[in-house]
Formats: sequence, structure tokens, C-alpha cells
Amino acid sequence: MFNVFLVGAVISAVIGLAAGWVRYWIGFCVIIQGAIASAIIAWLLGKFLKRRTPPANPSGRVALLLAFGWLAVFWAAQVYGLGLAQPWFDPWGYFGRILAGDAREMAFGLTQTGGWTRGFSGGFGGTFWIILNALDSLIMYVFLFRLPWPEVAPQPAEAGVQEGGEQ
Amino acid sequence: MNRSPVHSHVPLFLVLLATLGACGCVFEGDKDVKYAWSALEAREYDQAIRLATRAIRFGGIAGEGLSSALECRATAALRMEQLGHALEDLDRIVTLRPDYAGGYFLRGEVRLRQKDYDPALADLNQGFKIADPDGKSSNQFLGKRYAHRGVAWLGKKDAEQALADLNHAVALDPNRAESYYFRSFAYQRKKMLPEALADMEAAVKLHDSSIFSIPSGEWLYRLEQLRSKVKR
Repeated sequence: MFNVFLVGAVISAVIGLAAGWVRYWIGFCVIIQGAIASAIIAWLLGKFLKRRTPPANPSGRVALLLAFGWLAVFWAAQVYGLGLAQPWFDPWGYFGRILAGDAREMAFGLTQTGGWTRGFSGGFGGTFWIILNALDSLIMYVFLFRLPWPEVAPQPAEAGVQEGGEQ
Repeated sequence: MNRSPVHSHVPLFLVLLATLGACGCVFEGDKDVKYAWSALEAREYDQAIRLATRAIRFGGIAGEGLSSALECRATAALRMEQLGHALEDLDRIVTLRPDYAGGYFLRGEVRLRQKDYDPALADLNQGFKIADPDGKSSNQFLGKRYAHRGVAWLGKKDAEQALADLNHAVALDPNRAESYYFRSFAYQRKKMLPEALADMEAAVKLHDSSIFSIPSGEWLYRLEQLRSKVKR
């Protein structure tokens, strides 16, 4: 399982670097960015896992821990990737000022209020910025927890129970 | 082997990502420069730097547009006290447009903040050679630059030259509090304490009259110090 974590971490790091780089130039695409990044990570990881026989899906608790680890690696790489896009490397200062509410980050996305779907964009900092990022990370976490694992064919014993149940 | 429905949609996600990237990579340099200056005015220095950098790297700008983007980024860096980075951009402006006074003035200001008085004076002199060659301009924006040169002379402990430049700065822009503030130092160095006190009072009053500024504690402390010295 450690190998699986390692491969996932490398993929998360590469996607995180790219996400951070893009994020600096176009802004933070709330939820969509997290959904796309985690879907790509899960897809690439799923390709790796499919080549492993027999598929060894982890227990729910281990899958949760793995997803958390990959998310952490993604975030670290994202911060670093944003720094690489900057004219001079200062990602901690950049995020620090946004967190403190002294600066704002351009963010955009879709929202639905009262049955109307509408786009929003603007500069966000401080608490609201934290909430938007928490939402994005939550989506990523769910995707990373659920998506990478290949579907395992039912075991003969389980299949028998199912068939018996239908008879 | 069964394919998860989500796995089969991953190429779609990739296309979406590529589209998003393509949208983001087609930037309009001139617009970005304009937005960068607006961000600077709104004191959004990080965004000013980001937009100016985007214009420089992807905007396809050159000449005056590039110089404007570099100047905006340098000004934002200067206000964030990132003097080394500001200087890098200003060196590029001066190379790009050697006949543009603004590049020399701003580089002089950065060097003044770094307390490099001789290079600061050289830059400010070069700026004046272009913007005010005979020293007779009535452009009030030059008041700030004359005040900077006055401060550079103060740094070199030449109160006479400092006073000449600061007098000129006050004449060009009588509503600029900083010019009075610095002139009070020049007067004090020449042992002209009543004049120094009058300038300090004028500086605090002018600063106080703006709804956007409050005189700093340092200014008020200096005012009190001068008052007690004059009383003695």
C-alpha cells in the first residue's frame, strides 16, 4: 500500500505544480479546479492500480488516510507551483497576505441561489477565501477517497449469496 | 474489466482543463497593464504584480507598453518594500527607454530608500536633465522628485543643497506635507529651529487635513521635540 501512496503522491505533486502555476495566471476556479485536479489524479492512479493483480482495495479508513495524504501533497505542490509562476518566488508571503486579509486573490466559479445559476468572480481574502478553499479541498478529498480504486468483481462466495437471494 | 463511469469521463475533464488553460493563456497585454495600474491604485499590490507580470510574459507588449508594465510592477514592489526586485525592473526600464525621466526618478527613489545616496543623486539628476533641464518647470509633480533629491543631499549631510531642493519642492507643490517635513530637517541642521518648527507644524497640519491620512506618531513626536527645543 505504501507503493500506491508513493505513486499517488508523485502524481498529486505533478498535478499540484501545474494547478498552482495556472492558478497564479488565471485565478482560483472554485470547486471546478479541485474537481478537475482530483479527477486527473484519480484517473492516472486508477490506470496504475489496474495493472496490479489482484486489485487490493484498501479499507475505508486507509483510503481516507491515503486521500488526505495526497491532498496534502497536492496543496504543498500547488503552493510551490504558484511560486514558480511568480516573478520572484514568494508563495508563502502571497498566501500569507491573503490569509491575513491584507491582499486578495482573484477567484471565480458558479453558484446557485434561489433556483438561479450564475457566475461570480472577484477578489477574495481572509475568512471567505478560507471557506472557498475548504469547499474546493472537500470536493478533492471526496474524489481522491472514492475515485482511484478500480471496481473489484464480486467474489464467488458473494456472487453465490446474491444468486441465492434472487432464487 | 468494468470501467468506472467516472474513469470514462476523464478525457472530458482533460478537454475542459485544456480549454480553461487556453482561455487563460490568451491574455491581452494592454488590458492587463491597465488593470495592473488600477490594482496599484487600489493598493492591491500582489494583484498589480501578478497582472503586470502576466502582461510582460504573455501579453506580447513591447516599447512603452512593456515599460509601463515594468514601472507598475516596480512601483508595487517598492510599496511592498521589495527594493531589490523593484531595482531589477527599473534597470530594465532605463535600458529600454533611456530618454524616459520616470525610470530614473523611480530608481532614484528606490536607491534613496536603500540609503545609496550617490547613485540616487545620479539617477535623480539624470531625471531632471530630461524632465526639467533648465530647472524652470512649473510641473507640480516634479515637487516630489525635488524633495527626493533634497533628502539625498540630507543623507550626504549637505544641508545647503538640501534646502535649495526642498525650497523648490515646496514652491512647486505647496500642499505636499512630506516636503515640509524633510525641509524641517534641513533647517534644523542649519540651526534654524524656528523655521524647522514652522515647517513641522505645516507638515502635520497638511497631513491632518487629508481625510485619508493621520500624522504618524513619529511626526507628532518630532513636532513636540522641536517645540521644546525652541522654548529653551
